[in-house]
Amino acid sequence: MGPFLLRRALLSLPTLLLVSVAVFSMLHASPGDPAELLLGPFASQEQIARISSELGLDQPVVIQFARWFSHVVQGDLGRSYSLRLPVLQEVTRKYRATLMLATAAVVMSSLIGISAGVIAAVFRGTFLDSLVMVLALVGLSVPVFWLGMILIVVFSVRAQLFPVGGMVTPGAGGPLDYLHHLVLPALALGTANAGYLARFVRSSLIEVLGEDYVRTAVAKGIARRAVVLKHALRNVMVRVVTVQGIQFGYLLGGAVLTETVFSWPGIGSLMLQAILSRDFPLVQGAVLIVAVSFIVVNVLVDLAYSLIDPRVRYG
Amino acid sequence: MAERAANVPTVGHRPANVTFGILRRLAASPQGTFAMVVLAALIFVSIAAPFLPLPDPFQSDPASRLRPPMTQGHALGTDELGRDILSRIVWGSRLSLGVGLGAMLASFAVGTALGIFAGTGANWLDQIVMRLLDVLMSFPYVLLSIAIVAVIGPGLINTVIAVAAIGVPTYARIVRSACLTLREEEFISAAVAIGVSPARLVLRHYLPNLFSVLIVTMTLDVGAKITAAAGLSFIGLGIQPPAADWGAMLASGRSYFLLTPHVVVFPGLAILLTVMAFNLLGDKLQELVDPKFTKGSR
Repeated sequence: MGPFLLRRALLSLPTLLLVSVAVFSMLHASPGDPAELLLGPFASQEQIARISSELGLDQPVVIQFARWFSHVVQGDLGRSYSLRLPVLQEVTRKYRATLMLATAAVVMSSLIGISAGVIAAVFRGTFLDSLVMVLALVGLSVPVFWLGMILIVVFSVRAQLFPVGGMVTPGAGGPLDYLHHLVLPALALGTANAGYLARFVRSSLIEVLGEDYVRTAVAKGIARRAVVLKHALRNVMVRVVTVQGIQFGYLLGGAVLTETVFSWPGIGSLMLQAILSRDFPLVQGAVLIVAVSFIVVNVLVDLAYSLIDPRVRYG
Repeated sequence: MAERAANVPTVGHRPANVTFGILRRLAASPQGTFAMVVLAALIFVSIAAPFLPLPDPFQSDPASRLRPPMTQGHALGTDELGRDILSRIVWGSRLSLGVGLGAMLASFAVGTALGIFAGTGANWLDQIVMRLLDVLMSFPYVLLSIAIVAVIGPGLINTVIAVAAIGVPTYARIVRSACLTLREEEFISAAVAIGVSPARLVLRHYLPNLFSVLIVTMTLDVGAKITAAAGLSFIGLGIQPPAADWGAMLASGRSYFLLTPHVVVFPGLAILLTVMAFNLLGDKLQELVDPKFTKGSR
């Protein structure tokens, strides 16, 4: 296990470096001067030049990158231009919100998707199967930002069951309040994935149910319920973990549309704002966090294999 | 002679009745019929939009703002500027279909070219291309398209470019692995042995065989591209108002949907129906292309 983790950590370093270089070059190639955006339309040339030099933006790009990189290696992600706060502090704060949202979305989509897939596979060819598959298709085709707005209209405005947006009621707080705010965005964010998972679990389960060991279990007289849930589903779960793991990695950085609809203060909307205001250190820091978590999630998925499937061992 | 023999597995001259046969088999299932009817209707209205008896999609009318559906003259109501929503959805089908198909074809062209380079070229070329694509893939695709638009600016063509870029690695990977398999086939070795030029080898021998592998991905991808483009427009980075675009309609309706949900319900339904139709078509094509698949799924 130790050598495996070390090897993966070393292998991820070049990727992180390449991602940083790519983002840095893209930012600097994009039109719009951060100093100008920071000072507004009425700033004089002298003011812009002074701020540019203060922020080090008048240096060659290579020098700027080298300076940024040397700080990152020491754990300093710099200061945000627009927020005037340490990037690390802001990024971790927003990252926690997204982590919460993405986790809830993955849990919700797993619950819905796996049960729907099992039901469809067990009742294969019946009306119930068709119904589940149609719903799965709708789920996977629906644009997340539109679904979010529809959920808000139905459950917040009409039924008044959930808040319209945000992460916490001002003045209130506590775990229950967070959960209350979390339900609709997590449902919106997890729906496409639940649809995909339902189809995936169904076809995988149908395939596994045709295997020899399942036939043996049935022949031995084990109850069908136990055969499906214990023998077959357990083998399908290895694949499900991969799918959900990759999905989780994507959601950690890609939940920006859901965050926008529900005013969820996450890393996606932070990055969108940072890109639009050309806040270079903030974009770089956020991208780095997202890329690192993507890699970490992938390693965790690999480790989870060996827990679910004892045949998989990492040395 | 040998060249002719090498041509046998390609599908360069597909007889018309094969295409007809595929369409007939697609129509044999309710899902296939649904997909084809929706797509045919969509193509029809997008072509016929100027000739349909609809109000001008850009004509604002402050006196009849945010009218509910089934109001006289406005079957789906009006938006925040009093423009007819049905007319804007019909005209918007042109943009959405155009962006979806255009971006898919661009992803396909660039991704396939890279995949062929990687899969048929030298090992070092393969390594470089694949590592660069890994970097592209280690990045959530929504953010990637946002970053690209931030560099090149919003607008119709730039939306197509941004949305196309995120699909490139998928095509490149599929094509690369298909090429690695094809490279071992006898008809390729035969073509190489008789000295077919590299360009001809790719165009006449590799490409036609890749098509059957890619057709399902391409179909599903149109739906994904339409959603991605609408997402960009929704956060204000895609197609800009006052264009009649489904994503842009959702973006401008966002300020009003709490009180008048119809401004977002119908454009969203249009996206949902279109994407569903492409997904269903992709599913059905998958069953036709890969007979193994039918056993497991239905």
